[in-house]
Amino acid sequence: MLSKAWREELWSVGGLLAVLWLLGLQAGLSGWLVPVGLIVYLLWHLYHLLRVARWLDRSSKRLPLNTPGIWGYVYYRLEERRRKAKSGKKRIGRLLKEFKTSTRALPDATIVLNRDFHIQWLNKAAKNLLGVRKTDAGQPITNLIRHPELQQYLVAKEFEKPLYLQFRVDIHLSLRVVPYGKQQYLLLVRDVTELHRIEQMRRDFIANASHELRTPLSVLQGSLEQLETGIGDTSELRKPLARMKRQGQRMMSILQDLLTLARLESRHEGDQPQSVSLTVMLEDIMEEARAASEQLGGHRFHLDIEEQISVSGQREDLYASTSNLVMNAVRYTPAGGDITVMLKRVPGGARFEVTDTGAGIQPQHLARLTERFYRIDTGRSREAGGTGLGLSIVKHVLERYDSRLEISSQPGAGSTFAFTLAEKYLEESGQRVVSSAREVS
Amino acid sequence: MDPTQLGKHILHRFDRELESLRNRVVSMGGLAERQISDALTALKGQNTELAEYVIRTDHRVNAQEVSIDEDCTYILARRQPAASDLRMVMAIIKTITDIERIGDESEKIARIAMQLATSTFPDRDQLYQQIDTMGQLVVQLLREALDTFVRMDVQCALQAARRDEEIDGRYVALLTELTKHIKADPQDTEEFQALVWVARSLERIGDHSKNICEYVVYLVEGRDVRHTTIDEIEQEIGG
Repeated sequence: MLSKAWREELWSVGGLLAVLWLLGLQAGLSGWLVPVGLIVYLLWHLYHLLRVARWLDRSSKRLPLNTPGIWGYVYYRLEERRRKAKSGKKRIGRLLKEFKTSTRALPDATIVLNRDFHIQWLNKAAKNLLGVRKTDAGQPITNLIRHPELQQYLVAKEFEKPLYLQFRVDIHLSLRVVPYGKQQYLLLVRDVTELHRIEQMRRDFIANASHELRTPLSVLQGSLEQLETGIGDTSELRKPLARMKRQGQRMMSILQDLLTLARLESRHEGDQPQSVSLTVMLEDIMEEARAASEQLGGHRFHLDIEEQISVSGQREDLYASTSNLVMNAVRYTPAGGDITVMLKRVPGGARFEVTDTGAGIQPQHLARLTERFYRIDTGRSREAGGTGLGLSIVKHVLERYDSRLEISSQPGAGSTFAFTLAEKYLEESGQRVVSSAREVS
Repeated sequence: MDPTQLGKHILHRFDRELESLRNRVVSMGGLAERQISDALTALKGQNTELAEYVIRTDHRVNAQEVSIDEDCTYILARRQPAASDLRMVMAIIKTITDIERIGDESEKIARIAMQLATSTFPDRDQLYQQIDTMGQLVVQLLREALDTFVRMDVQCALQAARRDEEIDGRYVALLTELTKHIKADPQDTEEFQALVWVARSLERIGDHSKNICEYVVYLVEGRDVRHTTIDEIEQEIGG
């Protein structure tokens, strides 16, 4: 296109000059007509340059599209570009508007934050739910949602898990932060008050029911003991009585575990952590385990416990989780089997492991093992005195310490239950050991 | 006044210092808000664990006050601010004192919550309900006061002052009620007296919150509206 327009322009200018030259020769004005023609040509160009300049300044709207020659071509191209830009702009504008209306209509409060978590944009739900206004744009979000938890959450920048917040006395929120684009964040807030209420009711129900059942049960247990001492040694009631006592005991431990779980779920975050020596605690647990093991016919215990590993946390919780793992091994390993308990420092924390030579677990059960009341072999497990809640408790406790239960098992050969507590939960004395070890290496 | 553009300074760093100081005051306020609502929850739910937590964490508010105070002194000495900047620093110094007191009053309520956790007395639930209603008003007032500080919104300050009058009304009503109870059941005087202290603390928190609003009026308008009635304030800033 361009070359054609150019060719035309050159041809017409060349032709014009040739004609002028010939005319000049004939009329005897030899050198005059050609410069005059050139000046006229120059003026023509200047005129069109001026028009383009004014068009670019937006002081004139229309371009003379049917101008001949190279300028006609230039005008045509400019007009074409203008139209394209206009329709593109319209399309983007429409898209933006659609985006904004749809986000505005979102039931979840949506706030766009910049890299420093200052408010950029917000939808209507954000206004209604959080009381944030349009005019708050530019403010740090933490100035308007002043909950200390949100500040910690934003500073930590760990946005995989949502943040649950008691926003007002009767409003619970779930907040999600989604990083996107060039260091921008989308804050999505949802009202979860109703969910929270239902969850609370469930917890309260379990806790209350367990609590209420405990009293009548202990009365029953007491009476059974009285009966047992009251009847003669040879009475045929002895057997059923012993059975009743055993079942009562089992019910009691289930209630105990349910209460422990309820406590774990409803614990206030700000509990003061204590210093708990895992090493000393394990000694107590092993004593218990040995006693239990003797009743079942005895096991061979192998201990590999490092001195002075202390954790900052809740003693009850840690006790419940480690003792459950050890007692499980005792319960499910046939008499004479081997049980290895290991507690060691590893890079990044401390590791606790219980390995047994029991029957092992089929792989399809592994994922569901920590569910409440999940049992592989119901009869066997009850006989062994399990409540079906032990591993559930272990899982809950470990979640509090950002850890998780690792289970590996080979059917027929035995299982290993293990967890690792991260460095940040370990106490000073342990850290000293590590630093000196590093110095040596 | 646009709260995000508190005047532009040639010294960009000064702007940033003031901004971060302001944000820290707000986050300190957030801590105090949490303290008071936790203390109220602990009292109402007879939750000693939560009450203990409130008492244990009061120092966080105090520490914030000390550190912000130091930074204010630094700014006064180094930057020698004038006009609205000076008012800003002054308002911050006063605001943090009030927030710190709010923290102290919350701690007092938490201590009483511990003391009353196991005690019973006549009309307990109804009295707790009344205190909680007053408490929620106070929490709301504090929230509005801090929002006012964040937004530099003078109209908001007026509303807050009105709410404080409502709180004072409830305080008086609660006192009368408690006096009646003391006369009726003198053997439980100690418990009722503790509740009087709770009401008193809440009323004080309301006053501190109102003060914060007044500092904002001073900061934005440059006029001192302390110790005046609402109508006078309205005239002052309206005219």
